[in-house]
Amino acid sequence: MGHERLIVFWIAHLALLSLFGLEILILAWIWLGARVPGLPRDASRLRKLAVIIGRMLKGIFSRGIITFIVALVLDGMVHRRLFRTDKLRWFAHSTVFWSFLILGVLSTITGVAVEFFNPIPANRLSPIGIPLQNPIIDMLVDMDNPVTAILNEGFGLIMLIGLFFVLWRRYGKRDTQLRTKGPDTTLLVLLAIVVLGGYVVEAFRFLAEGVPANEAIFGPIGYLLSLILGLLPLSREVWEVVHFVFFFAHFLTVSLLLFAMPFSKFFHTVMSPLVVALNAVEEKGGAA
Amino acid sequence: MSEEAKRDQGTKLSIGHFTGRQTLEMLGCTRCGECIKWCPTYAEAERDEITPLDKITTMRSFLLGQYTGPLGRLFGHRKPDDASLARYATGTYDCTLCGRCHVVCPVQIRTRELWIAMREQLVELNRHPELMNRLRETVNASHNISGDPNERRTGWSANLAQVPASLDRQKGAEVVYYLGCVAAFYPMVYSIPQAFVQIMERVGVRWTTLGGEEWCCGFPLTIAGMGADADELARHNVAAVRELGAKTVVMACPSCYHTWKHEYPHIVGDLGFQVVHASEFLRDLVTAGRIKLGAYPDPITYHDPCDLGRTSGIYDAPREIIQAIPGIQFTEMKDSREYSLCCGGGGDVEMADAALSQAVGKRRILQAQDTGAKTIVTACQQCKRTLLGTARREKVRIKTIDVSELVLEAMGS
Repeated sequence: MGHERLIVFWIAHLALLSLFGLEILILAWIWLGARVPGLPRDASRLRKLAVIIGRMLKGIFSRGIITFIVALVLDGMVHRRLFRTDKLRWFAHSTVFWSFLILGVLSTITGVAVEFFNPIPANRLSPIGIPLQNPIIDMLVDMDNPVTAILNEGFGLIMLIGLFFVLWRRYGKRDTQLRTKGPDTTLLVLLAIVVLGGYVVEAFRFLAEGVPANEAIFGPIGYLLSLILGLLPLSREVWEVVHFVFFFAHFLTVSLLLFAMPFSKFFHTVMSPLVVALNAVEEKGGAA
Repeated sequence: MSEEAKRDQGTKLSIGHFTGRQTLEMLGCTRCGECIKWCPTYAEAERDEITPLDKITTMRSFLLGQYTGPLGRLFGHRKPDDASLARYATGTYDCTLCGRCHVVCPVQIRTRELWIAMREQLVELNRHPELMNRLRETVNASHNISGDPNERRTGWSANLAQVPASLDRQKGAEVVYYLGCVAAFYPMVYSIPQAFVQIMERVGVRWTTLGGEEWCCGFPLTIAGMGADADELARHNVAAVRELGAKTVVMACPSCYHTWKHEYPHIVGDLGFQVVHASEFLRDLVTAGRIKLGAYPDPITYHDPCDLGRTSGIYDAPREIIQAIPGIQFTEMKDSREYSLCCGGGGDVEMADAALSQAVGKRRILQAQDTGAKTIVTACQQCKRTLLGTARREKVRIKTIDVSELVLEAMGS
């Protein structure tokens, strides 16, 4: 990708990240308006923040932290209660949740690795003393590395399967307990666009960069798409432009999801594990 | 004041009614709708505003709409207006506060506390049902929910073969029996205090009541969203017990029990005496061998009162008493323990929507009937009153008794 294009990407990325940050700040400001047990209702936000930080530190260094972590993992992330209630719902939710989380982490690491450690200066150490030239960073920087490619495509596929079940429950089976409104549909459509768009972007990258078949094959869906799209009589330069446009659109969709997160239902992905863990600690009578 | 400002005054929410935890819980709701499947009032009325999910998403949207301006509007959040607040208020008060939604919530949102905080908010905005104002006036003026002169709290004892000498404020009693407004003023359930004091007399417990100095515990006001008015009641009741020097306060009403045990310490600090529910008290007497139980003829089932089970965590004490009856035929209902169905008498719904309360009760009576039981045993005077009324209305031939009545009957003469 050209230097100018990357500048456009980073400006847009930072602007959207700032918006996300602003939303989080607004939510924090609202949250600090709420009552803190043990403090007068009209206590200042600053005072509340100080007390909350104090209680958090106390909680971290108490036995309650074990309960917190166990509940966070088992109830907040593995969703064992949902597993006991309904295996299909658990499967649909877990596949979407974990794939989104893992793909998000992978993309972020790859993005950072590509921007800051590529090319990697020889003999340079990371802040924690690990040589930057190591197989893991090499693998993450290289999107055609078999492991990176399989992880990206595999989790994308798992997410699509999960999304299929989510959509089926909501629009096919129409579970009576569900209340589907416009924002629910919008979020699901955005998620589907992100995953499907990822495959298209990958196909365009194969065409733009002329990735050889023996490497591209580790991203089989993208590779298959590139074979079909490659039938179009377009030059490599054109594919480069097309790739950038689609990459940018893909990135904008992800950013839109991020932007929508704090003020929408989507925020439960962050908040519900926290709530379930905090409530578990309180139930056990520990500091929370 | 401009028209817009005037309108805003009646719809402006204060996030200070909610704790930080409750705010996080509203943000953490996954909107999975599991609560809808289990909501007893929604099952009968099928109005979406009743559902826990709707209440949470509506309040979250109100708050985001109010505090985030155009950015919030972009996501469809609107600050409340008259119509949306009226809908929300109806849903919030058409809830029995049974707490079943908490049990099934994958995020374990503490819904009952949240609904009470929402009601407090509505009271501040003067959007609560008018009947709640009357309840407040009655309790403040008469110190009970019925509006009868409070001195008549021991009226139920008139039908006893012999009125116990220690009935009214006997100093030196080890146990204070706190009746609660329902047992004291509703003849339909007079049999509960009558049974309970007869047991204490026969076992030799030194007991008394607060007589006319017993005030409403404050629970009906707290759950109406008028908790601030309950503080004075709490202080008075605790002082009255302290004056008698009793070591234990026992009550057959789970709502009174919960209030004394879990709310009063927040208001008055350490009580200085223990608070036990009648079922625990009787169970201990049975376990200690002070009560000998004989047979009970009918097959029975047990109804878990919401405030005893889900709210206070007492499921086993009443069952241990039942199981101690030789040869008892006991069958659990389809929904029992933490999944127990509400009798319809909770959450002040009876005042807000009597028909809805009755519909919820009917479902429970039918569940009891399905077990083949001839007697429903419960451990709550309000549940007994509601179930008894429902059974009569529905012409279901099933007897409803409190656990203390069961014990007295099994003790024989």
